[in-house]
Amino acid sequence: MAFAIPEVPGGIIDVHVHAGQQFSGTRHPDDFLGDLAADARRCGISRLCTSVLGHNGYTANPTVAELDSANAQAAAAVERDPIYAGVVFCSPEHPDESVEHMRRLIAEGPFVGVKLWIARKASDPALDPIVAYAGELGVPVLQHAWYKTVGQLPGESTPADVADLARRHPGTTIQMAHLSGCGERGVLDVAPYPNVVVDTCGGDPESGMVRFAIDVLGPERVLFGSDAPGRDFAVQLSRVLAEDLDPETLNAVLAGNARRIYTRLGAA
Amino acid sequence: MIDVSCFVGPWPFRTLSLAEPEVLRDRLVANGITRALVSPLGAVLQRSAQVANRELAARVAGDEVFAFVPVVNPAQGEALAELDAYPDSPAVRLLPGPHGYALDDPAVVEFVRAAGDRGRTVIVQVRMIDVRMAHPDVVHRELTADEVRGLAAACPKTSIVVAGARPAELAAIFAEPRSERLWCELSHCEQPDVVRNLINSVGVDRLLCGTHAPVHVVEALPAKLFSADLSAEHQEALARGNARAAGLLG
Repeated sequence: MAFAIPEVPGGIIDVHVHAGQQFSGTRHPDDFLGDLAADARRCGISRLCTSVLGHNGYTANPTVAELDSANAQAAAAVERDPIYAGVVFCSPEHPDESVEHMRRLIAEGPFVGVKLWIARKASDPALDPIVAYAGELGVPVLQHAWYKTVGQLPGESTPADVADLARRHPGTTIQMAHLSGCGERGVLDVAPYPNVVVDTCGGDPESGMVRFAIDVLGPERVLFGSDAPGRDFAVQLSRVLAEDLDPETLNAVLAGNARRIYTRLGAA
Repeated sequence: MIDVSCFVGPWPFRTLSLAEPEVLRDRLVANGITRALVSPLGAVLQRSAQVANRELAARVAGDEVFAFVPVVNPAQGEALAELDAYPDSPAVRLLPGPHGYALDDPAVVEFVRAAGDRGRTVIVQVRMIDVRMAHPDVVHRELTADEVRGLAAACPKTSIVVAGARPAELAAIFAEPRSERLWCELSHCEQPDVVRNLINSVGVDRLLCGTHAPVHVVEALPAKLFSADLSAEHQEALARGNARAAGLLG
């Protein structure tokens, strides 16, 4: 079958992974992390920026104990295999504890970024202590976002919420998740804010979205992300490869931009 | 490789780079697809699919890659006449969600049986897109596993291909007892090990290749098969053998 993995110096970097999210069909239920790492390496991926959002499924409004547990799982993945680079799961409902996790795992540890999911919308000032501290540390904040026609959750951010967050924190890099979920409208929402980058995952491998984002934002603001294991590494890679990008742009999207934005990745 | 679930044409909700058939054909071939069963994308939203069928049938007539598959609404009169208008088409596609009918409608069951009597395979589309990304005024109903199973049970002599279903839906649709003439395609199935898991839940002899292009990128299909890392025997079954068994090669 005609599917060729591109050769990217230093390997591809996947900036959107949830290594703790075991699913029912994994080959080795007792070694899920091993399966995920093997699948990634087979696709030429050398680093997986991974957060864990809960033990049995994703936790929308994690308690302090659930944050502790999730970040401990992420730390175990980092410890287990150097392909994993840790991203701290934070909650604006627990700002003090979240900042403490960031201090321990990023400032004093090997983690490389921050993840915010759907506890509060990005336009909520409750996020501010976390996002401001990320700016101080020089690490990006991966903020979930989606424009859903049906099923938008109460605390779920839209790209307009992300734009508001970026306006409040111009010194922090915001990685807006789920390009296909955000759609053309979402890309246009964040276009005026140079501190926002987008990752390429989100739903089915729809054609044209990666090209649209590059045309509007520039190649330096688009990063490869898979959302694995909710999605498949190779299929999510295919939505980038399908756009016939020139080699320089392809390398930027698949790795170069991640190396620039995830400033602690080299040391992790 | 045979792509059993492909479309041609523009899509009102998003600009598609592969909307033109010549461009799509080149992309399919570049990705190892030698034959693609194509239906008109315009038929999804048009009140009557006949015009879109005629236009696409004329445009791809004689094409070595494209095999035309008309879209038919069995709940409308003259459905069989529309089917008979394209005697060389190996299959017919039903879009129950966009076209607003139920699979247990007696007219639908009668049509599917008649299609089987004519040696035509019936492709039943569970969804066209993820409803989360649908236009707010155009959220189509998605089929349930039970109604697809019901149709297959009511039409045991007709070869049916389930298109656009998710892995969990396919596991439910193919649960025993199941029709011997039921297949499915992969276009909306994606997660690590999805093909291997479908081989376990559905059976390797029931899986077909589908791209859902040009709405989805063509490259997702070979990517999925790359991830599956199939044996040569299984690869041949998915790429061609099962399509032949399902009556999709004409």
